[in-house]
Amino acid sequence: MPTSDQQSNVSSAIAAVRNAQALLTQQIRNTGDTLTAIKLSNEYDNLDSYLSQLLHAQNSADDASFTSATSILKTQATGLQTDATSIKAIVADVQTAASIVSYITQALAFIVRL
Amino acid sequence: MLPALCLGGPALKYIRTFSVIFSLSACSGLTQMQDTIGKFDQAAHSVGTAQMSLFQQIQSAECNRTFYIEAFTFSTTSKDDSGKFPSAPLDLTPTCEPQELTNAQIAIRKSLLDTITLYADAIQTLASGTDNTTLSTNSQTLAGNIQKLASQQGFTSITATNTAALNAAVVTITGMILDHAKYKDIQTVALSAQAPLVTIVNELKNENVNDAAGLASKAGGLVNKYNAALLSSRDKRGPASFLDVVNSHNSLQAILVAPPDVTTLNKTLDALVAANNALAQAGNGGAVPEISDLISRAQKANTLFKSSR
Repeated sequence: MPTSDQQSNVSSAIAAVRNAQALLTQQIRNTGDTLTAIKLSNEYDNLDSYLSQLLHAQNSADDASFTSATSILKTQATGLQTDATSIKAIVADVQTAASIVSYITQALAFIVRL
Repeated sequence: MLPALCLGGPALKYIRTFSVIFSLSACSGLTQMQDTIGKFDQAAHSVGTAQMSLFQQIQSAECNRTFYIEAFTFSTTSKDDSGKFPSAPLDLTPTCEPQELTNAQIAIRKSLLDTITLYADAIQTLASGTDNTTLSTNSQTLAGNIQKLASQQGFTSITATNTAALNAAVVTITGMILDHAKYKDIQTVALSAQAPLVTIVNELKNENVNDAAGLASKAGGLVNKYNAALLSSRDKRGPASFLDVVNSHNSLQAILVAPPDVTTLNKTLDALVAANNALAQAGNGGAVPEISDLISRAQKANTLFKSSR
């Protein structure tokens, strides 16, 4: 059975991912380059997929399904880290890139606590 | 026996104010009561309907998201060195099994809603002056099943309330529904249900907020794809891409599931709690204003969620 702390960490991770997505969307709207927009859109989708996993964990109703959901999240954490590195390379504005990476790092920190 | 919520004296002032909503042509105490509690029951069911619409939106948005990602991958795939497109499967009529909020998980949430609506049904039965044996066998079986689920800690909490408290709340309310002996008067029942009701409603509200974040994320993903596609259109078509921009604007309005107004839904849940509290405190002036507010909000929430499906 997930504890209140675990569930609170899920909520915090969701908020951090949404913050990263908001900055990505801003970058997509501002860029004039098609390839950059495609790459950032794909990165956004990767975060969205991760968000779905978090929400699935939130909706888990028993120990087994919560453990399974969080196990998948932790396994995918490496992928999220890779996404952060990719985003850093795609986003031209260094400060914005650092902010996005910071939000992803926050999300990862909450997930580690699950 | 007249139920404890007897709307005499000061309460009649409220009744006059809300006479449009509450038909009081036959203003005997019992009829008044039945009308008021009937509205409460009706509004509780409306809240449940709006909540279920939100759950359906979540599943639908996930399925659409899966299709849009596949379509975007198909459209943005580049030719390889041999000048051919690599495999990018595209199913225009996909089937979908939601993973984010599965059918089993919706069933659990529906049980929380059923707890509220069964409670409203039960006090409506009480207002009619009979005991709750008139609750249908199906309703009693459902209440029993929900109670069993809660006894096994089958409901989980996300933040503000803890899991044990949530399950205890469900056990308490379903126990009140099933236990004939506790049905003496509406005021007492409403008072006993108030704290558990707050716990259940808080849980639903917290889940709604996170679910709204998920829906907003999916909507944003679709808009991003449109933006990328329009950049490509402008590259290739120049000023003529204006037509694509206008078409995109129109098509997005048609297909985009706008993030639901969860604030309205959550305020409706708050109104439900306030109405029940007013029933519990009926001796202080009646529950009519609170129930009127609940009805108004429930109707608004239902309209909003039906239109955004």
